[in-house]
Amino acid sequence: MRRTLVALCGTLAALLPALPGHAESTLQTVLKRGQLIAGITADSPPSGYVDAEGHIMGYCSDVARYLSRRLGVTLQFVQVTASSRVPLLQTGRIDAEIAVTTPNKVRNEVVDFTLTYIMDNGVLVVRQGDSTDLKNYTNADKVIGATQGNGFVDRWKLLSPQAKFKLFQDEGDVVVALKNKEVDAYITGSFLAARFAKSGGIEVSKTPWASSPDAIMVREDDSKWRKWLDWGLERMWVEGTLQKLYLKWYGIEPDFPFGDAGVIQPRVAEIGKTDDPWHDLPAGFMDKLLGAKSYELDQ
Amino acid sequence: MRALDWSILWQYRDALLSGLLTTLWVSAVGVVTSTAAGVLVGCLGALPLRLARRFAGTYTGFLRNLPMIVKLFFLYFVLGLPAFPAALLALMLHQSAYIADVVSAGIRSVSRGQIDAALSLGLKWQQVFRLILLPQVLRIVMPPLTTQYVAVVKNSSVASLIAIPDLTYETQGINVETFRGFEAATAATALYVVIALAVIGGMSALASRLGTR
Repeated sequence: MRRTLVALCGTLAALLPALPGHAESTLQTVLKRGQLIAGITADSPPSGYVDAEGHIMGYCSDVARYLSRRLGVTLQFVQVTASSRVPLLQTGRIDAEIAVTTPNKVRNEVVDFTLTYIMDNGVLVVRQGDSTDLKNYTNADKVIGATQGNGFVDRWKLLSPQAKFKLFQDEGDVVVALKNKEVDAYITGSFLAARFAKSGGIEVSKTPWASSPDAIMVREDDSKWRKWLDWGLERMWVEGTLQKLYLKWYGIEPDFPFGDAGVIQPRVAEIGKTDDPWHDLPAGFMDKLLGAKSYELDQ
Repeated sequence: MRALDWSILWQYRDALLSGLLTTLWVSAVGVVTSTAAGVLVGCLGALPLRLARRFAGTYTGFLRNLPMIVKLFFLYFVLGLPAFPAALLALMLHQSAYIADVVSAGIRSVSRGQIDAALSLGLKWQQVFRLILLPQVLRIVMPPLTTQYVAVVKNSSVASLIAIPDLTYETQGINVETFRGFEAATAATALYVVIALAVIGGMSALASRLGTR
């Protein structure tokens, strides 16, 4: 028993100083490998989900498809969850998480984020027939459902410091908990709420109560990779591709100031001599990407 | 190179302590209820009644082959039980099937002659179990029961999937809020090891007291 404890402590102590880092930029790693490994979520329609036939769908996966073609590499999707996304990123199992993660200062101490590429509005989801007025849910006796890691939870705590939460792993679990009266209301983004409302038995508040920016997540201090992704998103914006994908999946034009305080970097369209791969798109690529079967672009 | 920040564990000490207490409570209830149910089903399997033996066989065969998470989701999402009762019932059903097997094996290891002698002396079956079999069987099955109790502690972590704020749940909460998953997971691992060692130590002490070591 004593030897086991000593061995365990020794192992833990050896891990104390730091986790292994990555000397080479992810950009170089991706180009050498010839493949972009993108982490995506499967439970956040229409941003990221898997359809009944197992195809990876959503705004985020289409952005990944576009960026991989501009890099001139193939694409592999890895499904991530709120718990696994950071370990997968930090251990190099994914090159970027192209999903719906909200940047905040505490997270920014551990990872880096690109420009915001989705702006979601927080809504309240309740059982059919219940009030959708926020005021009815900010008292201490109401239980609010959400997913762990949901950026709206911190926003709700500002509205209602004494709020009680029940946090689940998946968005679908929260909807079931709401219908089973385990929670009184569910806070989530408007895009996802609109999809869940189709399942019946629930109502979505008309007026959003918060907004939540989402960005692509990359390893810390990998500025070459982060800059390339930022340039990629800005170029997509200048082309109009980002807006078209936004309209395709969310049904609206982006309603937030894209870029750095709404300004696109001057000369972002100029392709740099180093660390700025930007391949031409094959014929028919954009038609496929903006169509209903963009998953057919997956190689 | 990312430096680890162990101070995050101190910052979230209240959450970790709360999660630990919930895990201890769920595990304790799980141990007591699964032992009671497992001993009952194990004894039913030893009775000379075909219906009782068939029930015991079906109970253990069905429940052992169903993953705990499936039982939990069925009780919570399909039957609509509240979270804590669903978690405790799932844990009890899951572990009692294994304990029933352990108890059955223990009963079979006791000489049949003792049972025959007791019955021929006019003892009823419940007296045979209470006075002759179970005192011996529980001493014999202490080691495998210890393994089952450690399994109860480990399986209690599945309750986090239905938002029961146990140690696993709180660890995941720290991870998704701070992105310091390595530090949080290390703390949870250490605490689970401590609980498991406490269970093993407790059962070892009990075994010594009962004179089985």
